[in-house]
Amino acid sequence: MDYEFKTYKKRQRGQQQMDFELKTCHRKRQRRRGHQQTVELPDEIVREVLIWLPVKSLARFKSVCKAWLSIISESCFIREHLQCSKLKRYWNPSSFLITPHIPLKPGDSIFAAFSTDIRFYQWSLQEDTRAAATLLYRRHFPAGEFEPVLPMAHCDGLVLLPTKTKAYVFNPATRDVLALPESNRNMRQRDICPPIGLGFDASTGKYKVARSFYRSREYNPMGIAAMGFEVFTLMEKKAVGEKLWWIHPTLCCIQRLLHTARGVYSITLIGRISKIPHRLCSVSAFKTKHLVSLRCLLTRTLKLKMMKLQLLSLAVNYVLLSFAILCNKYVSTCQEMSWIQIGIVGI
Amino acid sequence: MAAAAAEATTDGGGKMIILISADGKRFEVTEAVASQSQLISNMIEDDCTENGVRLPNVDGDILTMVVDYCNMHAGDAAAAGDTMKASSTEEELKKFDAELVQALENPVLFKLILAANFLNIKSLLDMTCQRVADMMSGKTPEQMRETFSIENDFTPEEEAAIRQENAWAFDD
Repeated sequence: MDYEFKTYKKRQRGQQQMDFELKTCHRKRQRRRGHQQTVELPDEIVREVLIWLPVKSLARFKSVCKAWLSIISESCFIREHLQCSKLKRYWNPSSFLITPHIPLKPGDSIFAAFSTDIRFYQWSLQEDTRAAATLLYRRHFPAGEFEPVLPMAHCDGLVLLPTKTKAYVFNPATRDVLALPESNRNMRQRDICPPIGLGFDASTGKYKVARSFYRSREYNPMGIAAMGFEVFTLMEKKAVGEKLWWIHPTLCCIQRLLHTARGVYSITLIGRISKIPHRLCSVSAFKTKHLVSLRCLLTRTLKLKMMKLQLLSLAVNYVLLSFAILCNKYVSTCQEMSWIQIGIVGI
Repeated sequence: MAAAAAEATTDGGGKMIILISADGKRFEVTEAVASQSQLISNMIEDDCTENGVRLPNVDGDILTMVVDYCNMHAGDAAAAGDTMKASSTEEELKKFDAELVQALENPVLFKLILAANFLNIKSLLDMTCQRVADMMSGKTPEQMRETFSIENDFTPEEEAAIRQENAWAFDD
């Protein structure tokens, strides 16, 4: 009987090997002696438990011991945690990430200077109307660090904030921000903000930012300006960016970047859609019907809530190293805010 | 003697399996119930359950819970057409699950997790792990070390550095 068990256990192990691939970097764990009555869980089980925890708890538990720090920092764990968060969102799909942007002077257009106080709120949709926006992360950049802010893009909870001069990638769940290197390739830096997009590259498992730039100051006789792309790869380690720039020589006149389920596409002014060859897969698919149903709710309730900018206390149990985002982009014009960025966040 | 018992069949014709806990308690369950455990399901496939299935890692009281859980959830796993036993509604199942883990405290809950892992019952493992996570989420690292009997192996400097890096997570 014992023998049989060993074989079955072995077989199970084989099945589980995929799940626990990362066990190879085995850690030595010291345990207290003399607590015989307590039951200890092996690392692989601890990992299964940690997967269900909110990001905030995980950040706290990094200081429990080296083994936990190593589990929580594994890129594979982070990915599984994201999947788990998406699963939870599926059960309880009622939380959004929103960012109010306040122009320095009321009534200014979106191309005017914006407040450099960037705030991310988690806004929960509840059955009753007491739903509240909770401040998740706030970052105050020095005044004048950037002026106009362009529409944001986001993917799996990472938020790309492009400005006229610089671009930033935020991870509001982990309170991280990464400033992308400035482009020295853009020939028309002064007058036009070139489109920029963020996506997940499934082939490498990395997030990438594609930034377009103008390759010349002048339009050609057809009215087309030559453009190129720089691709920036975000590393798993938070604020470290690998400079992997890549230029596509033939793209021209990119009007804007679109994020679709199958990749990031660019649209040229002459109406042709050309796929960026360096494949960038965005997990988030644009879903018009979600936006339509949200529009009513937002204009009705959000305006009131956000204008007051009150921090209403609501125990929101958000769980993500990165949020899972369903809608791609939502732009609204309220009085106090020029526009709002929205994504569905896992709870 | 075990063989005779193990070959007993129900009136419905489903084969019965005997599970034997570490402390010798015996549980008679149908194949449909037992095969929610991937471990036992594999054994059934290979036809080596005749003498009862001895589970040296699982205590009787833990196995009681596991068997209750499997009995309750047998409707999920069994073939969709099998409505012999009025299958529990989803809500009843949720209520049952919540009640099963709600009352459990640390050593027993951990034992249940280990049993679910050993028997390879994915849904029970997920549920129990989630329960532990719910209990953990608001705790401090010190409380975690206590709960999981972990020795702090950081130097004071290392620990301070990590805490500093994640200082925001310590705000209430």
